[in-house]
Amino acid sequence: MTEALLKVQDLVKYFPIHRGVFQHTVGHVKAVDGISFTVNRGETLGVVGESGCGKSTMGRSVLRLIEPTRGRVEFEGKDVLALNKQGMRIMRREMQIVFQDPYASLNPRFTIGQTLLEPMKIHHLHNPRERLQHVYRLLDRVGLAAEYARRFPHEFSGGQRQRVGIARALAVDPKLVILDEPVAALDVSVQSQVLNLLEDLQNELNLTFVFIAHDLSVVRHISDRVLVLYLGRMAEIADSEELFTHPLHPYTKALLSAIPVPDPDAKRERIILQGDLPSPANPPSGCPFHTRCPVAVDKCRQEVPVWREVQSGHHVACHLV
Amino acid sequence: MYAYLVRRISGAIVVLFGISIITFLLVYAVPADPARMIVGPKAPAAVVAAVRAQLGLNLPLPVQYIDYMGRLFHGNLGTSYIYSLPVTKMILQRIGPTAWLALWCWVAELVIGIPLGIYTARHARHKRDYIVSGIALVGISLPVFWLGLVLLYWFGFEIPIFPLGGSGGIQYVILPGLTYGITGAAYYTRLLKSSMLEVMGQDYVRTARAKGASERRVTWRHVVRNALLPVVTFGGIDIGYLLTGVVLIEATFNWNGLGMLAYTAIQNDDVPVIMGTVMLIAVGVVMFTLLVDIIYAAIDPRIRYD
Amino acid sequence: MSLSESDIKQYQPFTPVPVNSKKRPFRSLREFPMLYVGGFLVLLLIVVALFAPLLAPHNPDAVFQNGLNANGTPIAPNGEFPFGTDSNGRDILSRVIYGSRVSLTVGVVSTVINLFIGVVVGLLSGYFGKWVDTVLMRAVDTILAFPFLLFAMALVAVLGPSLWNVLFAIGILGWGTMARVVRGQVLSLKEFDYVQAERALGASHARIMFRIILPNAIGPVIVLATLNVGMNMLTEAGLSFLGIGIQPPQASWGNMIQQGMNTYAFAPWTLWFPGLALVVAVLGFNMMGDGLRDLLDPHNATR
Repeated sequence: MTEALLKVQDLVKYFPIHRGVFQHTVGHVKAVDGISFTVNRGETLGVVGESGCGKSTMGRSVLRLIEPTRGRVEFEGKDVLALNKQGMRIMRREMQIVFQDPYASLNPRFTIGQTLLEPMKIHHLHNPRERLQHVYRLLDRVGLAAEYARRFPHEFSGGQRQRVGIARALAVDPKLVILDEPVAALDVSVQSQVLNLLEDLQNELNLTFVFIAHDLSVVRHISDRVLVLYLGRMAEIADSEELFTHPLHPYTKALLSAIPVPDPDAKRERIILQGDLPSPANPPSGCPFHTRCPVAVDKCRQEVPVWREVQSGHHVACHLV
Repeated sequence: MYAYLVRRISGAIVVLFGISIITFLLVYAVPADPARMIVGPKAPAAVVAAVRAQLGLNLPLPVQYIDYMGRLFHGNLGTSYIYSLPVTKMILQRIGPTAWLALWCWVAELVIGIPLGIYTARHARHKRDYIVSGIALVGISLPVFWLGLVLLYWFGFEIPIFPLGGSGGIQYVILPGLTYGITGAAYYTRLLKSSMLEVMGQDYVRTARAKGASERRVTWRHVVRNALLPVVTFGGIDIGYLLTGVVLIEATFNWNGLGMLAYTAIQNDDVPVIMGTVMLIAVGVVMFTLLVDIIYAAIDPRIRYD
Repeated sequence: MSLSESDIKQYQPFTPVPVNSKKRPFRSLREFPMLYVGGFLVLLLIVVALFAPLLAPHNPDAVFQNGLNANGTPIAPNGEFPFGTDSNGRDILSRVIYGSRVSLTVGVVSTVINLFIGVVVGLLSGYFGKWVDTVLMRAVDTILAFPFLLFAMALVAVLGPSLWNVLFAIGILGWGTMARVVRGQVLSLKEFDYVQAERALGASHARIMFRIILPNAIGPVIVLATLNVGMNMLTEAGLSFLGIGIQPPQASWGNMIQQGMNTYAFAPWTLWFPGLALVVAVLGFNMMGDGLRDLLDPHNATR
């Protein structure tokens, strides 16, 4: 059961920087700089990196909420970036997104019911009566009471709103859902509830997830595989277990060492990254991580490391591995 | 900075171009036949046709527009149909009186508006603020021509201190200035109030208070000085808009300026004069706004150029 | 789960359930005095305009035999003519009452035109950005540069002075500020995730602009529109005062003031009443606009 649902090849998104009289382009912010990966049907791919590493841009580029500069996105073998307006409309039923900030992602003028009806109206799904039933089914599925349909978002907590955001994404019965830091804005106590809900939904509806997070600990138990990004480029990808037990890239190691461990006696080496994240408008030469890498050598400053498979399914971009 | 200036100026040029097109089109929408107006109603058709040819009125519209622009660049705004005088000359004669009047209207706005702004800000959310703000709101709601007539009635007729209209020196200017000042001051009052309230929340004002500066000193040295910048900006732009606002004042006080010229021209269907005055004032507004933006950019380092 | 007919009716559009909240939906007069007083004046104006034939003691255009003094001057306010008569011997009270119809019609309809053009231009400009924005905003700069009153005068002169032409001229010239305000709102709103979610769902541009962004941008638009009604009423009166607006004998407060200009020295009431009516009407809309601004201001939400 390793049929590829989503295939992303060499995805690039540069945001031009305009200056001067005629707003000519003087440079680019390289938000996403050559990312390739495959997501299989029914699995969860975790995507991890610091804020500003391009993971959100990547997620939105796959959905064409942002037009990528170049690259290829294939969904069930169809070239998504080549679709015309009508084709894209149909494609949007297959791929949905859940946003980070539940306070900004729900229309404050719509009741929860109206928000959930909206996708069905846009796609002319079901007749009116079925739509209502579907709204209740969705609310039930994400663990919200039916009477919430007539309430406004401001009456709800962050966790409840995020459930609505998930229900909205599911309203068109998508195959793929991009979860853009879906729990980052929530209280820790609520985070696990929402994560459990997502896992249940995945099993129940055979969903495929791309789970974006800045925190490895969140990704750990929900992801089958994890992709680590740094400055818009891929650092490492591996099966979840493999990545957590045998991280290869120094950046991955640093991220892992930042996860708090409940055992106070546990001896571990805390790797603290020096310096700030470099500007994606002017990334370092060679390996983008060399400015903060504790083990960098001369080669790292000059040559871009190649992306290579170290073990089956475990890829890394580092000269020292 | 340089790029900002160039962009700002090229934007203004586009707007000026738009102004010329709209005024030109407006004239051609006027149903009256200019040739017929010049030669009079009894002239034979052949004469009318000759005059039309002479004026270039039977050429296609774009050609006429290019001719018109060409003349415009030489400062030639055409000839009045009614007075047979060059429009440029007629306008130049009126600019002086209108500028004189506009200046005093502007001064009156500032003199009334700024103290009230400071007053309402110092007493914000208290009774005094509400009363003064309420009065300012009534000021905005007053029709300038009606207020002018009311003032004329009281201070020109019942208590004859000022002349009953007409243009001239300082005694003629006080009532129109006061009229305009009362109706326009509220914009300055509100702007200064909100600007001052914003400044009052800043850390440096709190620091000044904390170090024991008197309330008077805090208000004048720290708050007013820093809050005045947006008022100065608006004041500059306002001069431009004043040119458009004086029409009613001029008509009310029988002031022989640009507004009256446009007013009589519109009543007489004197197309070149209408076009000339409307365009001149529009150009004035654009120029003033541009000038203020440039000065603003030069003195305020915080402005963003992109 | 199956639903009964009544369930469907009850939940059909997912209308909001009334919340038994402690926040009173209608704030008190003490909190928002401007809104209430302004609203009252506006309501008064509407009632007067609607019921003008019932309220006016006389025909506004009728010239009364006993409407002028022996020396041909207007009659001072008295029992028969509570506001006095004008230089034609017509009843000023009745003319003031009927004048409210002109003011209100021009004020409201021209604002609706302003609103329509301003909202469409602002939405397109802010939503699509790029060259659409550049072109439309230059157009707005151009229209805002024109001397509004002079331009309206010229336009009415071209079209011919009539109620509808006055209203049309003010309507198609006065939308610049509205467009700028709407554009500003759209620029900030379009980055919100709920707008992005709508895009991700495949909604059309028109649906996103009009169904999602516009309702969320409506607050400042309503405030501006309310203030605009008052301003447009002043413009109409100004045009009529200059003789380029509503033509006598039809009563407009502006042309009544113009007429009063010739008689105020010996019959000041010909000036007072139409002017006061205009001030009260404009003040009503200005107060209501300011009150709405306070009401919608998030800083006041918790008061």
